[in-house]
Amino acid sequence: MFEHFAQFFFFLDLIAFIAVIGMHLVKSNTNIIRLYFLQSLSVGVLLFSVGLVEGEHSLLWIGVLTLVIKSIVAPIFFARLLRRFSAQQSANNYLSVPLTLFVLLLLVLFSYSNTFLPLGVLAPEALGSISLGLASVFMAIFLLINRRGAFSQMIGILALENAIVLLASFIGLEQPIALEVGIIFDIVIWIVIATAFISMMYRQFKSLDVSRLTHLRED
Amino acid sequence: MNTLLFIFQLLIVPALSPLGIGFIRKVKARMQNRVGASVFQPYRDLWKLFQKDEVISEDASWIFRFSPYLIFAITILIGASIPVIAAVPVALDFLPSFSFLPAGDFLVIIYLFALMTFFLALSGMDTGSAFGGFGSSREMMVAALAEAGLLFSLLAVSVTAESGNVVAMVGNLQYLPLQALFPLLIAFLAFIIALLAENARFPVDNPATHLELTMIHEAMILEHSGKRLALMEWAAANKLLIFILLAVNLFFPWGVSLSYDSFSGLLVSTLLVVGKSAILLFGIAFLESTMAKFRIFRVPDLLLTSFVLGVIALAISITF
Amino acid sequence: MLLTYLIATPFLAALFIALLPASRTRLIEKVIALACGIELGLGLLLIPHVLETGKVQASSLFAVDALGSFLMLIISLVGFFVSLYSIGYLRAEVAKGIIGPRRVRQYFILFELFLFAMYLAVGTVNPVVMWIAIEATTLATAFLISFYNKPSATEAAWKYLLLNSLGLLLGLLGTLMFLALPEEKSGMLSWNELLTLAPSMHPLAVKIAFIFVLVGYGTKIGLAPLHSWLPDAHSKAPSPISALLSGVLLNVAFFAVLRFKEVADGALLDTFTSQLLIFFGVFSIVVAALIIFIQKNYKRLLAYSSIEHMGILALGFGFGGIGIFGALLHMLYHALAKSLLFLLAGNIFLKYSTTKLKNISGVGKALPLSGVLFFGGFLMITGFPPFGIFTSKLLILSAGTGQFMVLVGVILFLLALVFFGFFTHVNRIFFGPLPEGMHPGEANLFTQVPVLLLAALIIVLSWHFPETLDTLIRAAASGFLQK
Repeated sequence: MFEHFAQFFFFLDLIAFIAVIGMHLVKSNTNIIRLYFLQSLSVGVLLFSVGLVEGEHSLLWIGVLTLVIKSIVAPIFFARLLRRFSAQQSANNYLSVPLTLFVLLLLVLFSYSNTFLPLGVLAPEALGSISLGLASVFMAIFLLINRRGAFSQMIGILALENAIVLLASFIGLEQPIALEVGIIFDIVIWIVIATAFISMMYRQFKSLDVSRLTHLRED
Repeated sequence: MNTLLFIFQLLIVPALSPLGIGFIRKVKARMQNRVGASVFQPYRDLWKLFQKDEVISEDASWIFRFSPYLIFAITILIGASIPVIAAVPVALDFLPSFSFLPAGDFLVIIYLFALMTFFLALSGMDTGSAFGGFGSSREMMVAALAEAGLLFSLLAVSVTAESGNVVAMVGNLQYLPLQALFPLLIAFLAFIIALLAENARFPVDNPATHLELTMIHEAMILEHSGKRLALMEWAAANKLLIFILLAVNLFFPWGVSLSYDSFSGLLVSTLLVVGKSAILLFGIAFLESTMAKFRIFRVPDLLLTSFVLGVIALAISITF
Repeated sequence: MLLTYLIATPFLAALFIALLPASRTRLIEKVIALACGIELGLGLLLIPHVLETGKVQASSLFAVDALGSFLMLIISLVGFFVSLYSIGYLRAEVAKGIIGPRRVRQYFILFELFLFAMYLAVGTVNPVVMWIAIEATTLATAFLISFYNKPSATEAAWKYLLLNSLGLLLGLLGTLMFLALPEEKSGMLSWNELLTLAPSMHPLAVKIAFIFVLVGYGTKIGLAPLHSWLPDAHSKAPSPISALLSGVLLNVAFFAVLRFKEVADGALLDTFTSQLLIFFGVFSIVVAALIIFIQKNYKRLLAYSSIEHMGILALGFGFGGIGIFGALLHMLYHALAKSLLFLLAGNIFLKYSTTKLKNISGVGKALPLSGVLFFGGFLMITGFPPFGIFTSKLLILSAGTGQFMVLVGVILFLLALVFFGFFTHVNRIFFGPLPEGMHPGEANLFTQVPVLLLAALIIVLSWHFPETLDTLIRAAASGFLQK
């Protein structure tokens, strides 16, 4: 179906991109987890396919590892966490939906603008994918800023990490398996610590709404 | 030969549109564990309505009497201009300049639909009924916002296909590599939202509601009866089928035949178009059975999403 | 070999403590003191080796040059004093019943892991390993910041975790871009290889990559406008941890930026990186200077002072020339002086149990030793002669007088503002009546000896700068003066 694998990779990039847009628009935490699952799935499949195409066995294993950890273990873990604290709902934004959409549009236009054209030297044949990946990075950062719930902010960081891994694979970087495993291990520990914090916050504040955390105001 | 094809293109959309409506209703019924009416029931409903007497309010003006014909005529015109199973412009044998090709320009299509909505809204207000009035005002709001999404999604397709004419677009898109067509996925999402809004489907409007306060499209045709009602209902069915055909043929153009010559090509094309349309119709029915209708204040957010997705798709397609 | 031991010791110490039961607090304390003593010794021993051979290699992944060993010296020096102080601090807290032995053990495990991660970050030649190590410091310190489990501490730790991870991910993106720029892209490029490949990199792409690195790691350094997590995190953490965070971690993050600056300068051959550093430096100084005046909490005061000093560092590296030498000096002096101040703040907290300035008075009477040293520390940190920071600030600002005369004038004014703000606060808490019911006196031996030694060290270093240290700093600075 796909003439080159480049098209398949671009397709996966697009899926991840749509997933990040979706994360801004959905209102419930469970849906955010589903979109994160979708994004991790596309990243994992991408890594796996690149490994297949280029014959790099290490990438195959990394892809499988990514799929297992980010697409299966993490969402289940999060779903259980949400169920424990009954926080399935209420993932609100600081900006209203129209303004959020407008900012997303500006971010996409920004990453497709001439400012980032020099990055094309990194991988001239994949400029479209690079711009898309860069747009996903910016939108993930915006997700972090815009969301009120601590849980959504955590998913924002994880989505950002996914977007960066995606972008890195498009600029053609080959990393030894040890480094990739190191980064994944880092993220796993991060998830563990972040969920511990979320549990702590929920116990202390009875809500995950970050805008209610006002203890640190200068007083 | 061309004359026959001309008449075929003219009649195919009105002929099949009630089937589309019937199919959606059947799927919904099945999902609700009912047997449901037969898929051909809308034909019988139209036939019944054409036999009945009409009652027209005394306060209605010429607009009320004239609009249904205009609206129906517009849908026939557009239906004849879009590629159904073949992306070929046909003209009459004896009058080659009389072809539907100019009406196939996507901007013309959008504005013909806007003309249709305009008269629909006017006829809704024409009888002075309160329900018709607020149906018209809601319809105007929805149409105004949905037009942006519709326009930009089709613009993205047009830019990718390097043509303004829907018939030519299908031809061009078939020859492009897949990578150029992927941004159209985003445009497809935008188009689907616009489709749901323009055709009074969930989550914007409930076509099967009987509660006047929740109506948008239904409210405007509340005062019609007899053959005018039949024409309005038929026109709505035509509009839905036109949107569906545009969606499947523009965004997933593979398989649409590029000439009327090869019979096997036409057969494959017919099967593919029917299959894709069926999937889309099923999707709409599924959406209607599983989702709740949005409250009216959430509809602008949805339509704005469609708009922004359309612009994003356009931005991505331009850089290719 | 030395290097391997230096990096491995904290990890082994953490492992060992993890295996001990929580009740053997005395043993844990001995292990800590021993480990940090060993690290200090190794850090000092490393210097002559590096000066002799230019760099010390432990394996293909780990090596230090002059700049690296300078950072390691800072880490081991401050780590030594802070660990000894922690023993005393935690003993006092246990005596007051705030925490129990299990928490003490948890503290020391995380403490050693924190040090391990910092040594790892400085000692590795691979940018990605350095990133992993710095991310590990974030993870290790998150729980240390929320140590007291109060709502404000949890909130500060969450903000810290989130903003630092965001910054570090952006830094990762910049790192990966840098690694992908040369023709033969590989994740295993070392700093030296990147340096040699630098001239072949596409300049505009290098600029974009460097911006990502600066914004990303700059968040970790605390450069404005990405500094909002710093005052919260550094004030809510236990004081010894704040000392390490402010004094050492910020420098390690700056080290990362410096490495990339070297590579970028090799590729760009213009003043792009310097201009960016100057911009962020000035911005940080302005923000910090304006807020110090209205501070109401002495630990936040010290945290904003850290932001200001990081701005001065950025300024020094941005100005170039003698400013680089001054900036490296400043790194050392600031690390020592800021940790001193934070440890003393810990003493004040132990005595007064509050961090709000308006509730404290009479420190001079209640804590004679700490009070005097605090006053001295304030003089040190604001650049009062003859202390070291005066010299380093002078060097940095003189480097800027050539091109940026107006800027230097503005900075001087702001620094004077900072001095004034600090002065009013310190004055108020030092003099004044003793609160009723408070007995003068320090907590225990371990809270006094380290601070005394640290203060003595700063005074000695300000008067008589050792020859070897001077050579080391010159060697480290030479890497930046290639133009």
